Amino acid sequence: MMRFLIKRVLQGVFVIFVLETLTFFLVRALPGNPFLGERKLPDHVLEQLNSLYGLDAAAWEQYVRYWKAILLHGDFGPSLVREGVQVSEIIAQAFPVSLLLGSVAMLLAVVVGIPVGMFAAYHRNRLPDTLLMLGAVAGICIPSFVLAPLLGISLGMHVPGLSVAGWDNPLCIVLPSIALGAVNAAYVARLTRSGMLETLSSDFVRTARAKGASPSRILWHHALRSGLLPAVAYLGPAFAALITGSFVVETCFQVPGMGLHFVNATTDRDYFLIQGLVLCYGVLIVLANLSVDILLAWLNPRIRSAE
Amino acid sequence: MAMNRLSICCLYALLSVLLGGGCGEGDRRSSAAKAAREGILLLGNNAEPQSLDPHKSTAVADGKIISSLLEGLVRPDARESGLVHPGMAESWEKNADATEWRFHLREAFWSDGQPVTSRDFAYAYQRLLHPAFGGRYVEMLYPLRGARAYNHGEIQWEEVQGVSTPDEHTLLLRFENPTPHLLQMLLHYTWFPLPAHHVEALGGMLDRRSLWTSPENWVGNGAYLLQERRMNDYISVVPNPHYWRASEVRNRGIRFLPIVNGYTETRMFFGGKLHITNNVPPEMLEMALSRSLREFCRDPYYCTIFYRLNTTRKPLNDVRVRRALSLAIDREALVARVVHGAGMTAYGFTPPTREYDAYDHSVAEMTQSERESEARRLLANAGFPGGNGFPTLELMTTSRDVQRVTAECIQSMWSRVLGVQVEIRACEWTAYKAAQQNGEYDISSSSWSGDYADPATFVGLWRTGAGNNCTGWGSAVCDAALDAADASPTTAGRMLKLAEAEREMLEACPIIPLYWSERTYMKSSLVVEGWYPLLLDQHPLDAVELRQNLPAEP
Amino acid sequence: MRTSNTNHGCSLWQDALQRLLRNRASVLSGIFLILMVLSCFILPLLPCIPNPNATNLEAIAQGSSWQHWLGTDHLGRDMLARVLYGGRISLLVGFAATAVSFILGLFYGMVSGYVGGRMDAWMMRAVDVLFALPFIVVVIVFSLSIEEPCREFTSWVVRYTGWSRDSVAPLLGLVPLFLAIGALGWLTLARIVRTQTLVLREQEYVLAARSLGLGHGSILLRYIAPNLLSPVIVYTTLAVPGIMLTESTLSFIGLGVKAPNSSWGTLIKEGADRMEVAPQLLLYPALFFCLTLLALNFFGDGLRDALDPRSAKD
Repeated sequence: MMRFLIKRVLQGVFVIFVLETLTFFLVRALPGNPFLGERKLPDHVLEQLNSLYGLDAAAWEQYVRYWKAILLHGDFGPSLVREGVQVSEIIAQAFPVSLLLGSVAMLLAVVVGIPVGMFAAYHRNRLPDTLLMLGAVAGICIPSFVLAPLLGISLGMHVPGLSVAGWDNPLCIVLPSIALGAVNAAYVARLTRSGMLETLSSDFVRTARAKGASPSRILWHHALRSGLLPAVAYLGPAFAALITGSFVVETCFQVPGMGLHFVNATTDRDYFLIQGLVLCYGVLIVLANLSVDILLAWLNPRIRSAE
Repeated sequence: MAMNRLSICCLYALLSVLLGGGCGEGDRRSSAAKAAREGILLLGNNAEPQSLDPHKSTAVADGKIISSLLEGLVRPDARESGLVHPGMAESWEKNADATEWRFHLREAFWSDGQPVTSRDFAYAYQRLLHPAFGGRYVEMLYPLRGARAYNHGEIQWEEVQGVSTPDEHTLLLRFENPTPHLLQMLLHYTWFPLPAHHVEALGGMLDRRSLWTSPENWVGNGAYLLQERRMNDYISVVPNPHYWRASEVRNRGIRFLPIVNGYTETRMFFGGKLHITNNVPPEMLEMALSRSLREFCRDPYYCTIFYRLNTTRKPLNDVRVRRALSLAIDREALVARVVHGAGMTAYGFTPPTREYDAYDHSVAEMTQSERESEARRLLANAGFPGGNGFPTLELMTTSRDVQRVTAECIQSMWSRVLGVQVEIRACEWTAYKAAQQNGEYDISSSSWSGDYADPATFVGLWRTGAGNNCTGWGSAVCDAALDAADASPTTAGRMLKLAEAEREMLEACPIIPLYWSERTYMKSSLVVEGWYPLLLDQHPLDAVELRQNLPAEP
Repeated sequence: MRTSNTNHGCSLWQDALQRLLRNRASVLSGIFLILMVLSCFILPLLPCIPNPNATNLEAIAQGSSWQHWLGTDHLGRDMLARVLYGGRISLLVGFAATAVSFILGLFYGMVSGYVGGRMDAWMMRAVDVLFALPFIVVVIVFSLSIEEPCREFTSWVVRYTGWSRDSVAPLLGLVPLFLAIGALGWLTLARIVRTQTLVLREQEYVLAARSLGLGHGSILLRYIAPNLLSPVIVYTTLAVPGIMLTESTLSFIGLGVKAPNSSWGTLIKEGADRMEVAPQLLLYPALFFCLTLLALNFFGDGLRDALDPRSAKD
């Protein structure tokens, strides 16, 4: 197990390194520069800015300098578009917001999705199953950018306490997390159902049934663990995507999270900020995949023994 | 497994508390009402500021925040645009041709207790202009004698004659040309002082990455102190106890909210999240009006919406084609139906004011069908009768909603009236700006808002090769008129010359003016005092008073 | 599986088709999809559908009427025409991007699995890296960097074919977008194909072909590719709604389909902003879009059950 973990961590570090290198050179190849504001800057000012931020050096030199600053000083550089703010500060502010929103949305997805999937599997091919799965497919097909404004205007404007947009009281999280969680809940429900069905038809469950175990005991005791495997495998990467933010939901509800920064930094060519965000995202993805591997090993005795 | 079921029950309990907890609260507009009780103004501020350092910013949203944190020589009036009051300067005098201004500073203090001196002004001007600093809005100080040369690294600061400090409380400004409108310019944040001792202590004048603008380091001389900055969320400021008029600040703080989308902002206003918004989008006007006529505001604004034409490209190098394109646009319909009345049809570039008007009256007085037949005639003369043989041009816009909708409307007008086809190309902001500034476009959707209340901030754009011209057009006549305006010692003379320059430009038509926009926004009835229509949107926020005696919600 | 098919006296594909036809939901979805594609691509050619770009400032944001079945939008354009044209673009981008990812994924996965060894390991590491890329950043970067070459290609096409620019440019303008979306969609497919290929290349008939001295190319083409088809088809059908969703999300945030084209995503965005003023602007595009996604999902499920009888038992 330990060797397996170390190998995965090393692989993760490699992935992050390549990711960051790709991003570094790709964003610099884009048209435009970070200093195009509402007013045009005189050419000599542009030159001054480029040299002040070291953007006039050769690309490889900038690249070496960038890694040096991170590895030696933990310095992610300044934001080039929001001058006077550090990239680390921006991420430190936005990440907890996205983490909170993503976690609540994920909680919602798990808490709604798994029971629905189990229930549907239990009542396979009967009316409740058909209705619930129809609902799940509908959940997948109503994209967050339709759901978000609908929720915002129908509930946010009229239900007291809920807010149409903004991030100024704890209840502001309700609608964005529903908009963000609904699609995932639908996926989780479908995956749980198929996972449970597969398990319920497997030999060990049949044996348990033959031994006279009650249906609920079979469901909870025997089938649940391995039936959850597909859903868990899906949840890992989905969770990483959720906590790095969803641009659509964040713009619709004016949530100050990571998603907004991702898009704005790219369209504004804020090189250091993009690199910082991508680094953060890469680390999260790698961590999420790692924890899924561990969780899967715990859930599935076969994988555990194979390792 | 009992553990499992227990934890699942807990999860559900948590979730239902989270979802159901909201139903207890009664007042839908609680955020705004609560803030009003605390005396905090919630202000929609369009965008996250570039920087709070006045020398690193060019954006409009930044200006509002900076102006509440720092104070220049003079400060604006709350009711009348163009009227100024003494700020850091107690009094001032100028020489006969307004090329030399002497300001006498008052006894005032930075928020760390240090006195504000004339050297803080000189320090700020030197920093902005320093050839190794990369100040963004340097052109604003170019009227100062020697400023341009210093900024280009041609002379030393000691040789700059424009700024001198005879003593701690006197600031002497000398200009290349007569500058009777100086007091208007001084309201802009590029003329504000900086706490020299503090900037020096935190990295020095040229430290681009200095963190003196972060909330924990902030030192200012304005009505407010920077309290907190949360990116994409809010910037909050609280009254500055060291401000010289501290007793006259009418509220207990401001929260600036960067909400880009006007639709969201308006909804948030009706959801009770804001006191004053930045913008109600055209299509929401009727809804906003019908929901709350009392709270809806529509102010004139010093801003023009227009199209730049690339005069270096065929067939736009032909003035007849440019005029035809301009005449074919039904501006009345555009303003009435697309902008929903929040603007004035424009036949000139500079929004007309009491003392200045240079728009094309002859075109303004024609009927639309006359304009259209004239347009068709011009296009035929240029060799494209009925649009035959006219190449497909590209109309560049940003992906912003209003711009795109306007472009779609004009695209169909040109096709209907002239038989001319244009292709709309909506770009993301940076690509759009890069194309416009490098002249890589045919037609580019643009807007311009004045930096100070003087037509020069508009007409000056069209000097040959000026940074924001971007059309490739230039004329010696126009340049000469602009020079003459600069040299003219009287306001009336300046206006005359500026108008001459603008008429010359309109004749050649390197741009198509569409409309002079108005500011439409919501102002809560909780704002009782201190916010009046202003042309430049330079509201002194310390004058804004909120209704605080609201009964607390049960 | 082969033997069981000969017993029934019909081929694998006929068998699958029969199973598909028995599934009522997927048959209905299939019919719906065909109707949708036909109406988006053929209806606009009929004279009764007005030009979707013709503005009429005298009739803005009107409700349904005989003249405008679905009402008009904020510039007085006919909503039905706009929704149909939007559907054209959405479907086109959806299918084109899927095709791109289909080709890339099939080729990459096959080569990786067939070659095996160290090469395979490296190729799969590359997929891991690409999987970790934040989608939004990649799409923006990629579509921007290929925008200029694509525009040059457009002018080249116009010059050498003599087609009118108006008809070619809007379609070719979509190329950067579906290349960008397609270039990211192939990763999962590549993994699936690789796993299958790893199994297939050890099969007797492939070993036999190799010992007969057949080239690698023809082995891949003749013996491996046909046997990959059924999982690949299933995956691809189920990927179309996901890709259409991606396109609309990008368009919704202003990074996808750009004017003059409008897809369902851009229409939904315009509608969402104006929801209080004219609800039909959101309602109709959203309805068309969601129903199409729903049908695609059901059809994909049906196809999977039909082609993969093991899972059809569920």
